[in-house]
Amino acid sequence: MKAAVLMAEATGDTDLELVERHRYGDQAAFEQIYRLHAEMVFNLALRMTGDAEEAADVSQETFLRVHRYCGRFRGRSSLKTWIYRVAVNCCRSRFRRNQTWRTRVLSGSLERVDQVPDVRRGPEDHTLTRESGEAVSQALSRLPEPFREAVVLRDLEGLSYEEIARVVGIRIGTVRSRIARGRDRLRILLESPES
Amino acid sequence: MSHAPVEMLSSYLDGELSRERRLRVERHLQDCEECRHRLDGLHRVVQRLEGLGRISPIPYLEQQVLQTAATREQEESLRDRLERGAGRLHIERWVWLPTFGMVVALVTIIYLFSWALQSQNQGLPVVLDVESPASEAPEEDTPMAMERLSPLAEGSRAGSLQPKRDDSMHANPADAAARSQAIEIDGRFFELQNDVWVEQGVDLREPTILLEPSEAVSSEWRHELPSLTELELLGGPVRLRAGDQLVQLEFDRR
Repeated sequence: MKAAVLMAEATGDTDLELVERHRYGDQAAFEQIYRLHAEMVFNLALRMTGDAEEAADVSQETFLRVHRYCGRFRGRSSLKTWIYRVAVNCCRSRFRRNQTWRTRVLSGSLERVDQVPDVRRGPEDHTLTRESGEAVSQALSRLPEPFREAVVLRDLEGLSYEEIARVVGIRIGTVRSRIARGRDRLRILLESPES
Repeated sequence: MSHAPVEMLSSYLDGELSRERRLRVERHLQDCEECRHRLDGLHRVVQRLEGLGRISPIPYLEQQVLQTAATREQEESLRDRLERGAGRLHIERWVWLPTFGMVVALVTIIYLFSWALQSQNQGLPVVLDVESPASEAPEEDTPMAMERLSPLAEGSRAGSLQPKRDDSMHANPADAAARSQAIEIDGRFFELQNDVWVEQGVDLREPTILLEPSEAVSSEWRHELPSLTELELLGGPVRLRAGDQLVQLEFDRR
């Protein structure tokens, strides 16, 4: 992944240049777009679906749409924001097609996901992180979809309120409200898990 | 004592408040233990979410995505070539059919004249009789004979006179391909279903709020809708999600 970032920096390709190269059939350009954004799309999908395989499917669907439609990217926002928007819409479509997500998430498929070790942390952190991560993921899966979307984009993906408004297609005031209510519900769920 | 709204506490955590509001929240927190407790709780939630960390995508995903994308690109390129070929054939047919007809007519006239000349030379009478086909039709083609036909025979005959149109054979493949393609507007995808452009994932049976474009501009959903100009270009009504609602924008068909 880092190699793709370094490559983009080394070649000095802007979003529009990458898209232009892809439009003219340069396969390497799409590979670069994929490598730059794959982790971000996968993590977003993972936290939205709570299932690694579903997240892989959502990621694939997202990048196939990006591959097909990125010729229409006009550069009005960053490519990252545009890809986030496509990914969020893929999650929503998939969620509406497959209402069983919630059930599956609650039945504990997150365990497997949170057992995947994060290499950036020390080994002693892993046990604590896993236990805490499991509880947080479970609580996250119990949030209504719009709140989960806003909280994931803010606290896991680190987007600003303005970027979230552009990705989700809502006003900043609504973003503020969804993040706050999402966090507050999580607080209640984590303080008293039975609620 | 009234408490600080959760939106204000959450925005305070994110540093998204103006200086004046931030100072007001800080003053309130000095006196309100409940809000301090709530703020601590929100802070812990944010810390625990951030602690979830990043996870690398499943290893096989990259190869799968790149391969599928390459295969689809090949399929699309082949389809484009076929459609372009079909288009060219379509134009050529309009050019060549009248030309071919004129050539056939010319050859026939030349042949008839040469045959007439030849007959004159041989002293034979020339009769160019262009009678209507009905005068030479066999008995079965007359109305009386038609009445004598059994219903089955009549049915089969009617079938032979007016062949049933097979729409599937005449469907334009370019139209079919166009129908199967989703149109993307601001990262959202629309497909044509029963003359309505429907956002992907939206069920046509779901209850919908109908909106005129002018109403949409002033509606509360305005900021949750993609570009109205681009939606209008689709031509015809567009059904899509606006926040938690399903709305149908009633654009006129072009």
